[in-house]
Amino acid sequence: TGQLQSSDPISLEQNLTKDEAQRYDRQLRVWGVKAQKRLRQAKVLLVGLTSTMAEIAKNLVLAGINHISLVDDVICNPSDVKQHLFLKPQHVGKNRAASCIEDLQELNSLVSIQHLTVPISSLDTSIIGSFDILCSSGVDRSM
Amino acid sequence: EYGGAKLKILSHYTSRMEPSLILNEKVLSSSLLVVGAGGIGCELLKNLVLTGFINLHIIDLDTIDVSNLNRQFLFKKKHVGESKAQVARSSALSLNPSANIVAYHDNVLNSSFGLSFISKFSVVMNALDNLTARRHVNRICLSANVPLIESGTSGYLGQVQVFVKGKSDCFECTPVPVPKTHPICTIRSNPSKPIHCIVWAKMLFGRLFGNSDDELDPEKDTEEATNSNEKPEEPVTEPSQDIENLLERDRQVLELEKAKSKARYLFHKFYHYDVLYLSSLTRLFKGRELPKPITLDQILSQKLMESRESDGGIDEYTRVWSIDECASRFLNLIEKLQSRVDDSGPISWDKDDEDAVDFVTAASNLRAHVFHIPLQSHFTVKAEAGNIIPAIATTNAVVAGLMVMECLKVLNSRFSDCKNTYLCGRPNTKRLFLPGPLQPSNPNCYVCGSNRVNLRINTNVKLSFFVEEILEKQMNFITPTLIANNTIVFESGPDACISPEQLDKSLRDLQLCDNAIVQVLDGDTDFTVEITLSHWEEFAENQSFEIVGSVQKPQTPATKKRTLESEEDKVPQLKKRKLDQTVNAVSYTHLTLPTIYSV
Repeated sequence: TGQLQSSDPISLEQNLTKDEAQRYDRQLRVWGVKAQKRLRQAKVLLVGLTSTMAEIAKNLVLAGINHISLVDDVICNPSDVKQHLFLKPQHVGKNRAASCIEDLQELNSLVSIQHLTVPISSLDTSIIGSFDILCSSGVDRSM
Repeated sequence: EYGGAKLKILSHYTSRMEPSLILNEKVLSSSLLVVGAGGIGCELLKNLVLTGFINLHIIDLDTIDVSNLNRQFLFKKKHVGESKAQVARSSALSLNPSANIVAYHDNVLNSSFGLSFISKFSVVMNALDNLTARRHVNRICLSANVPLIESGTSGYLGQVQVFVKGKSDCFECTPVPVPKTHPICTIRSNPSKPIHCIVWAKMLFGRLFGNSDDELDPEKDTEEATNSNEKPEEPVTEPSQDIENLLERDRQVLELEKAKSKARYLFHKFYHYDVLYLSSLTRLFKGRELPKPITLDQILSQKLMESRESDGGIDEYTRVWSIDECASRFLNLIEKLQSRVDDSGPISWDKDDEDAVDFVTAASNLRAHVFHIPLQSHFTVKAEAGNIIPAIATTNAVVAGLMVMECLKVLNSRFSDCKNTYLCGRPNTKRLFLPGPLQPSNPNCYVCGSNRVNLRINTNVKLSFFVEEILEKQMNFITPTLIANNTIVFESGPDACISPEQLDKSLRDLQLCDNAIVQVLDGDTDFTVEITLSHWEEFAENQSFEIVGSVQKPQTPATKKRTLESEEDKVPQLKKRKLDQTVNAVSYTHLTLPTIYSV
């Protein structure tokens, strides 16, 4: 629909749940509970679901950020399939970003994941402004 | 068949003259072994499949736990409890259904993964978390002449190393720091740090609920334990008559507690009776407060436990329990764990078994309280008791990526392009990676060098000591066969028949005296070492033997001095080099950077 959906904001006051404590145990011992709470508030926009971006998406979702939106103009083609973490033969002919959603969500059900169905050219400050970070890959900078 | 992008990448690893199709051929036809399907293993398997490798074997003995899910992304919540190797295989297959992936839910130390198995692979890639397996795989790869790519990560740190026989050193050419152990008398009698209490509590867990050695038994009469650790030059202190009276009375209390419940009895034994005795040994506690015995009812009556509703969140793990909560949990857990044992047999302590960690937390905190040591949270105890390596997905992803790059160079025989790469935790120049050339072999390495060593040992030690402490622990033999004077002195394995009497004999009894030469072989690895014994009686503190490199001519004092000087001259020069300068010069990186073995 093109409407930006985001999950409810989680305040920094709210404790990590037992589920989170168990899943994130090993990384809490690297960067601490406070950092994990900040990650849990983060919203990231990924533009251009190339192979590299697939890796980035994987790492962000595993880390437990709050929300990730994916947008792409590109349609999946057969040569993408054998070297892309999420694209499979059944995705050929479909939007690259849409094709990544299911596998990405399976990596961590605690993260809110959304396909932003707008063309890249329509990304304006009102959309981008609601994110903390934007990553792009394989996209013409002028856009 | 190949996407244009892939050909472009592969062509980077070939000379301009050589078509990259040759490397493509190698990628398609090579068979690779991945040892370990954990943090690095998952990333590595994914990378290998997406690079186009189709013949992959993967070994892992472990099953999936929820704490793996933050980084071992081939595993999902629904897979918890299943075999890592098998699930890694099925997830990887979804990336390329026409790949041939063979999974082994097994221990790589198993004899089925010996020389004949390893010889079938073009490259072996280690994604392990322990030294024993690393050393073992190193030896087989040398015997089989198969290149080995090693790796390790911890938090933000990590490294990739390439070991190719004849082109580089081997994994064991560089000495590995021995993990620190705590003296047993400190654990048993006079702990001074939380870790001493935690180690004690773990031993107790093993004694109560697991299969454990008598040697590690904290339930053994503390008196006996303390006396056996006394230094011979110190006089034996007889407990005073006062203490003996107190102990006599306390034994009666123990009987009363026993009648009430096993848990109450154990509490009184460990935290009252034993402590009563230890507190009489004032020489152990010079300058420190004596340990103070506690009684269960007195502790429980303190009612410090917060009655607030817990939010069920992480605070349950990170807060420090009050002493009465520890006592209360101690009692409950003994019953809970006992019924688990009654239902399904002995329990092996595991850091991801919440009851097991709860027990160690409660028991170690009670001990800490007695010895005036600060109490610890479940979260802290888990890490200390479990030797947890902090881990994130990205470091493993980076290391696995580097491993595949090195693998492609090895397959293409571009050994001079191979690098040992170290990740910097915090780059202080603009670098994240510190790559260096492969290292030359260490002439003193008994694994890849002359396979001969000189061992200084008191030849009155028993054969069992020689086998367990030296061959197995120190020299990492998994299934040693020991041959001397043309006879088999010791052998391992299911068909071996070595009598207990044989094991009890001293080396001397077995005609292994000064200058005796013994040969040790390890199972199916083709790894042999010739050990020349030197009878020795004086050793440094905490040592009872010494391995002295390959057999060498004794150095004259003059030669010794010269060697020392030149070594000292070298080191300051190397340290002066700035990181920005060329790394193609003699590598210094392995000297100054932490290497992760995850042990």
